[in-house]
Amino acid sequence: MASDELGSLSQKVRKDSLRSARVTMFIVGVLTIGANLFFALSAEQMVDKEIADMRKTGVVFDEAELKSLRESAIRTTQLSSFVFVGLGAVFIALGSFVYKAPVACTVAALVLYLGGWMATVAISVAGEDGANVAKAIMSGIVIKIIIVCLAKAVQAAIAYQKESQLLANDNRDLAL
Amino acid sequence: MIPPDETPVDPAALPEERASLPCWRCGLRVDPSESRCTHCAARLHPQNDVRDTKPKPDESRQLFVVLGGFFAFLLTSILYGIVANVAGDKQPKAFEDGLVIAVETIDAIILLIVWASCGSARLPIATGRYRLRAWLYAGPILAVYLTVNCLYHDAIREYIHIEWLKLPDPPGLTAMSVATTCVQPAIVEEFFFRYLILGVLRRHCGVHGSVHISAAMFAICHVHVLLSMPYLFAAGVFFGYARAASRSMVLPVSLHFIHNLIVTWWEAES
Repeated sequence: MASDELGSLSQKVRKDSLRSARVTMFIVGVLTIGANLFFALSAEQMVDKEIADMRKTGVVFDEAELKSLRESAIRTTQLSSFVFVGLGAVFIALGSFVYKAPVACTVAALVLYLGGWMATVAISVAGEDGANVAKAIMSGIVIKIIIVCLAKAVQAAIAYQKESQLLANDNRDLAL
Repeated sequence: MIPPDETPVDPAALPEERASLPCWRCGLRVDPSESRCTHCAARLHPQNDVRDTKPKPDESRQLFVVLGGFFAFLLTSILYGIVANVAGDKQPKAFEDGLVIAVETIDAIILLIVWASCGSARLPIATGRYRLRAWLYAGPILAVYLTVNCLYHDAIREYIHIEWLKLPDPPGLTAMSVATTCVQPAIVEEFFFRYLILGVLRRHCGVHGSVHISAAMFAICHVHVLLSMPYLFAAGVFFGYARAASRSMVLPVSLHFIHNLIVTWWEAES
């Protein structure tokens, strides 16, 4: 009896951990969608501003080449922004199903978050000096907090899923 | 004298939970002396009891070990992309080859470390029906994938003109390129993503979930070729199902090797 109560208490703690993972996934998803929709919609202005800033520093462009470069830059920004909007939607979907398939959803969220972070690092440093890589990877305390939160959620999800399966098996045994 | 390992186990002498063992199919406990499960009528394998009494690896630890390996693969990939980008086209061919060999050696070392820490990641026993179907369908599906690959990469080359985001130039068909783009990825990547990651995930998720997550990890680890990632995800799903249906590593390794060989040859020719 006492062990049953302890079991249900620990299951409740794991459920709380899953709930905080779910909230994290929802927040990450909504922020990713919002920020990237903004980037996609304002891609033209952003590229024009970049070109204007470069002109101010004295860079001279071949106008014909500039036109094709500008169009390509706009398309690329919009493409990458819409990919990240999709990623945000996946985060929200994973958050919605976290109680149905805890391990699959938390592992997928952790993997996608790491992947998205690394892709952002790759994009932000690729056009610049490679020495910024370490700086880019080490910076961003919020990113690390989210990664730790998702890793803890994976741990809780494994225990939660195992306990749920044992309970389901016990219930089946009792029903038979 | 009977060695201690071979001492016959008398179920009656065991505590209640050991005397009845779980059925391999329904998971409910059955008397080991029965030839069929009393709940689902599944034929009980002779190894039913052996599987249960074997010490099981810590599944939670295994999952974190493969996730750590994935992160190491990811870091190697991003560092490779950045070093290659910084070096640019100015470096001699020997530098490029040396860089590729170094990265692939690091990947192989990561695989061996993860495998040694993780242990076996086998999938459940196969049925002959699925194994035969997997081998029969793999060829035509591979042909479809190769066509999609060519069309997708041609479209990307046409669409994107930003220098640093461009796809790398094809290496050409040489002994070195076959070794580094066909043989090594087919072995190292397949054993890491399809054997270790898929096998470990399968203990926690269903087949479809584990195949798709391992495919996402496979695509993400190719972050140095950002634009190829959607295709690589689809390819990872195909290799994952080939592994799951055939329950063997021979099919996904062969498919990956043939796929990369044909792509390398096609790009060298065109």
